[in-house]
Amino acid sequence: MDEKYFMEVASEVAHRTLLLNYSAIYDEPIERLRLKNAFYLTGMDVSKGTFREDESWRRVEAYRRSREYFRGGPEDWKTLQEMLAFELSNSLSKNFTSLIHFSLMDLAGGGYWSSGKEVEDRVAGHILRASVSFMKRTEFGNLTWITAVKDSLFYPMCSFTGSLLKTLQVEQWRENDGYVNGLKNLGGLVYGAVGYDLLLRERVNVYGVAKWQYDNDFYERQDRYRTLIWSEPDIVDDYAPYGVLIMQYFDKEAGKLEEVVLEGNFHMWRLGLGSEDLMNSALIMKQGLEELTPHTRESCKKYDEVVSEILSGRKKALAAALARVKGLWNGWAGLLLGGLVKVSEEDGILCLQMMKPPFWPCDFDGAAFMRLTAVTLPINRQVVHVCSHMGKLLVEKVKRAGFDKSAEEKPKKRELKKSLKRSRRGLTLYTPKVLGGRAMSCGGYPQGPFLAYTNSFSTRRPSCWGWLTAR
Amino acid sequence: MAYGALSNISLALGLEPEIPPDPSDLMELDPVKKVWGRDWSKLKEHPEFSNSLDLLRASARLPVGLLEENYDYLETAIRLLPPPTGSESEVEGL
Repeated sequence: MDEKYFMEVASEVAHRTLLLNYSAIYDEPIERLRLKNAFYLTGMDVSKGTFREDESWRRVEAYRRSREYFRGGPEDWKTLQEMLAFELSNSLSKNFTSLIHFSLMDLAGGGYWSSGKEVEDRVAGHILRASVSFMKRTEFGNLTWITAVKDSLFYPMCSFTGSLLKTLQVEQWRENDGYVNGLKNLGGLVYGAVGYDLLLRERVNVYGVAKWQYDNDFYERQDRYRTLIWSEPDIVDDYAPYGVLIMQYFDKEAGKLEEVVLEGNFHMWRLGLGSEDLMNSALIMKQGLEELTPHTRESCKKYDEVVSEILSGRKKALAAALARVKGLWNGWAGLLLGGLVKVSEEDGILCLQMMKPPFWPCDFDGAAFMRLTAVTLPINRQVVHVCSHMGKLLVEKVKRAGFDKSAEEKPKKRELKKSLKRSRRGLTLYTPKVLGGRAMSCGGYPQGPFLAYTNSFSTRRPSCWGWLTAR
Repeated sequence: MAYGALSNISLALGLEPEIPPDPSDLMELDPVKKVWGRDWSKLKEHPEFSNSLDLLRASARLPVGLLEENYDYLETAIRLLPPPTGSESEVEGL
């Protein structure tokens, strides 16, 4: 198979998937899809009560054993919990990746897929070929950037689903009132999520978030954009591991989160973290990482590096880790929740804080909002990083193609201009240098894929999409 | 999206009562309403929350199973394509 034919076939496959995603998101009535969704997600045919045979063994086992457990079977919860968390994390990672792929391609293609167009579009073709060129050949077959993105989301997603299963007390769902209590806790999450979403909408510092992303992520990878080098480690965000590192301390059981009433009846919630906490957390992360399959662990190399550095116990390494945590909470989270979240530092102890805003229409549960911030930080950092990184690589690749004299499929000058204009306009939101100014007036973004993208974030996840949609 | 996944799982595993696809309907279930009903009604009275409620509903409605299926289709198809004949580690086809 020659290069040209390979690219044609691969881009056609990607094109078809994007059309399928379009129909899944916009076209089909959700009621009809529900049984199909449940079927694919769990491997269970709801109408017959049977599991499908061609499904992966691991998934079938996870859901079959869960069903038995909830019916009072003798399953071991610890094993089952790991299996469930794995399957749910895997499914959610794939979902996010599908939406990221769709949104990036659609934005670069000027809204071609979200418009549901059937006619062939040469510009969209250029985008598709640029996209599938970010691929490596391995002994197990071709590794696309899409798989790398899914892998990069998996580990932070595991932390999220682990926390979710714990909050919902799934272990007790088979006991008297256990499931009912789980539903009540889910109700609490739903209630908190709505409030938290409003908090993000109202407080986000649009320009600040964009600048932070540029200074702390985009700028660091300038050489990759110049050389157009795509590599797996670059897909993992530098800050996401620190988000996972601090997450567990926000649990009620950790008992570290406390409310303080300040002078003038101002309410503040705070949590203290020192080097020892980071080391304890790194130890737990190490155990978790060791349980991953070799392939998944390979894609979590950056997490391994962070853990090793902290466990080395060197003062410099611990100080650097604390500085990253501070940057993440003070900078990223602080700008998302403009002015409410900050960090103070005393004798090497970080004090992560959240203030109650002066006016709030309903009850303000600062502890719950701090927990929601922490539990979603690694995922939203990872998603923003991927979009920024791959968006920039994509637009650069399309741009270069037009000037590459040897490119057989070189777009014509007029097409190139059109293509670049469309790609840049669409992907501006992922290339933060320009984003700062643009985000202030982002009324021009294509609403279709963007809406899908925004929807991909449960409101439980603080994300940059609040600032991107803010008007 | 995680809510939608949980709702689908409850359907597939036959849990009673099922986690409804719309999170607003969850708040109407008896046991949940007892705890959150008052707060939820109060929250709905404030128009500031309407966008957040819409977003929650829309994200819960995303077809999680189908999106996953599409991902699997794309990954499998491209992975199984015979690699091009060149020796570079990255495909240069554009």
